[in-house]
Amino acid sequence: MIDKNQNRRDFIKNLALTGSVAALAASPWLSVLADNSITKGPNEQIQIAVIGTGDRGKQLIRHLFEIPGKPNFKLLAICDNFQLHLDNTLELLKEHNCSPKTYTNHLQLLENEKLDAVIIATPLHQHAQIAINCMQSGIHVFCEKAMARNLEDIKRMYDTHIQQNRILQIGHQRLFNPVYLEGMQRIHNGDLGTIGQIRAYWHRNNNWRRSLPNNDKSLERKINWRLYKEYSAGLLTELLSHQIQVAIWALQKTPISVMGTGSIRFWKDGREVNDNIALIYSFEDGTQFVYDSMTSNKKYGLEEQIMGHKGTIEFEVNRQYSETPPAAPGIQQLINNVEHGLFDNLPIGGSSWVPETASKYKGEPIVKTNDLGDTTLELEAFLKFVRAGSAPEKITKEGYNASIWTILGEQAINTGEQLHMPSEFIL
Amino acid sequence: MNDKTKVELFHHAFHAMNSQLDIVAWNCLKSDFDLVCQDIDLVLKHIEHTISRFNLDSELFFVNQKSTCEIIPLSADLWKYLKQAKEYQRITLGYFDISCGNQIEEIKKGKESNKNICFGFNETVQLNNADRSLQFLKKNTTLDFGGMGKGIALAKINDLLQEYELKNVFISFGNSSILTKGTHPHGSYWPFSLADFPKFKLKLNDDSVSISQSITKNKQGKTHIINPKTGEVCFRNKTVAVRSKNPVDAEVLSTALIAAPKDKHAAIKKQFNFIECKILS
Ligand SMILES: NC(=O)c1ccc[n+]([C@@H]2O[C@H](COP(=O)([O-])OP(=O)(O)OC[C@H]3O[C@@H](n4cnc5c(N)ncnc54)[C@H](O)[C@@H]3O)[C@@H](O)[C@H]2O)c1
Repeated sequence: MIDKNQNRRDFIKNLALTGSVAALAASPWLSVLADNSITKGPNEQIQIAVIGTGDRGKQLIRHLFEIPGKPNFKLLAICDNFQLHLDNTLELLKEHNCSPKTYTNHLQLLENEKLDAVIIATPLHQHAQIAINCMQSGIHVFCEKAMARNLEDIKRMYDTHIQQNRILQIGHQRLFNPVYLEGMQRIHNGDLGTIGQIRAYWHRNNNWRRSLPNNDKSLERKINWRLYKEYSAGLLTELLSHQIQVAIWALQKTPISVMGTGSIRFWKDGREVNDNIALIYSFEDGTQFVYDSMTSNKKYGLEEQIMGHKGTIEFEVNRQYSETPPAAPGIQQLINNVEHGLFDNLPIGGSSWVPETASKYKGEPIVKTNDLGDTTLELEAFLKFVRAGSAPEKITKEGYNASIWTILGEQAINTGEQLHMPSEFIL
Repeated sequence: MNDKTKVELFHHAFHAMNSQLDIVAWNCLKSDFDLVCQDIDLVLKHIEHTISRFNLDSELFFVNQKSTCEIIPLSADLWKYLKQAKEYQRITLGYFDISCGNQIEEIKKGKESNKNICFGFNETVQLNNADRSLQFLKKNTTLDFGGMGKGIALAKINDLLQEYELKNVFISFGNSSILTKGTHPHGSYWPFSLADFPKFKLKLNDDSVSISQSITKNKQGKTHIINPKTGEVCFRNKTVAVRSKNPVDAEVLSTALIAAPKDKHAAIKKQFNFIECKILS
């Protein structure tokens, strides 16, 4: 059996080697990921802690242990202010023979442990303070998306990263997904032509609630923090933030305005965040990013559709469609012959032709793998960055711009106005 | 001597009628080529909108939903194609019959073939000249332009090529329907052959070629051509290539010769103007 990790690695390496200057400038972390020579102090163990060991925190820990080649790190400590989650995580870690110290307060963690890096997967409203404290203690940070609950906190996080010269990587895993990396190269090489619109949506049909441990009602806001405005902007910070990041990455520019609307249409269960939103982000060159998300119909699922005058990419289904289909094989041969000055017979009609087959054009896969592993790759990259002592600045900016425009989207919905980026937040 | 490799060749492809149409042209202005392509796109969309059996928005789809005896007014185009189809049914001695859509559908679903005898266009469809309308005379009649559609499209495209004065063009519609004008850049004709029958070669100028096959996918599958008189699927391992000045003629004749038994071929062929007609197996 071919090692899937090896496949993925070869794939990334190949992308980094074959990418054009423009394509590599748009995704500079690709070269870092492909570079196996980042071995500065390979024997030194990277000391890591995970802060926030809920659903995502546990997933990230799982992915850490799945990184191929077993990078030299130690999960020194885990931190969560909810004992049940700490206990569950310790249980999970047994299979890796790992028994980290536990903390219930990140400040105590920072005081007591000598760490190189932390992974933050707390609810959104906690990201900023924890990340800033960590960076100020000289620790590199991987923080889940979105960056923070408001514009000011997002900026404070970014500024601290610059002042302290610490890595700040935000958990937009699509940045490391082979389908996106390959697709973005094609977009940046101009394969889709002039992009006029990006449409994206994320539709689910569930109440987005988590059950409360022991049905303890006092835990409602802690467990279901996504549904309350104090902690989350709901569908915007949880879902749109991934997709606006894809749009900004594809277009290589940030929007100039956003307008939007939203409502609680279906889940009138005491939640504060909308269950139904629609937004339009506009770009200077006239490109529009048209977005919607809802949680009472799942027929269309999720997608980002990049639409250029020569073609379309649908990332989530790994497909590219050409506006003009490529020449049929026999015709391609004819074209090649003419180019080479040849006058040959053309075997055009043939057995490949089956009468009346209803073949709808279904596009082509962007990459021929369904083994994506983007979260593992983003963590593998983070460890590489930590070992190298720095990450491409662009990766932090991706997180920053996506997060700023996510929160501006929320404000546009709240105010009903078309909003622009306040100048103090422009990097 | 001019440099052979310096020829500027234009190519465009379209998805249409569940297939792909490729056009290659040279010795013309890029702007003219682009305009022709825009018009071809419109022509293809219009034809699909008129005679596609599968397109839910098409006029034919609407007509096929109607019940027996209902008077169905028709557009000028659909009327024209139906009259044409009726005439083709006559001159092919009934072996090309667009009113067998339902029988073909049944066969595709795997139903017994002997129950699928077609009653024939004249027994199932009435065309009323007075008000340009149609009535179905028998239940379960479905019209299917599958054996003509590409030909109709190529005939219209041929008119466009003339209008724009494109003189050197090669068009392949799903590899089975070919339309050519003028010559290959490096020769005095467009060379053409079939992958399965490399010895069969054609030298095409202002021509059209249609290839029909009764060979089934995996040799057991569901061919679409039936003999309307017996309802039988034409399983014979046969390929028919017809070269003609008229793409619809080529299309219809190649289909009819698959459907008809051998002893009828001469009589059918007599009704058509064609340049070459070859049965390969
Ligand atoms: N990238 C992705 O695809 C993805 C997917 C899911 C979640 N997330 C992100 O991950 C983060 C966590 O989401 P989740 O679903 O795991 O939520 P969760 O509620 O399951 O987990 C959050 C954990 O943080 C703990 N916590 C809260 N405040 C804390 C503090 N001050 N110090 C330490 N721990 C604290 C909670 O007790 C809980 O265990 C969110 O930012 C979310 O947006 C990202």
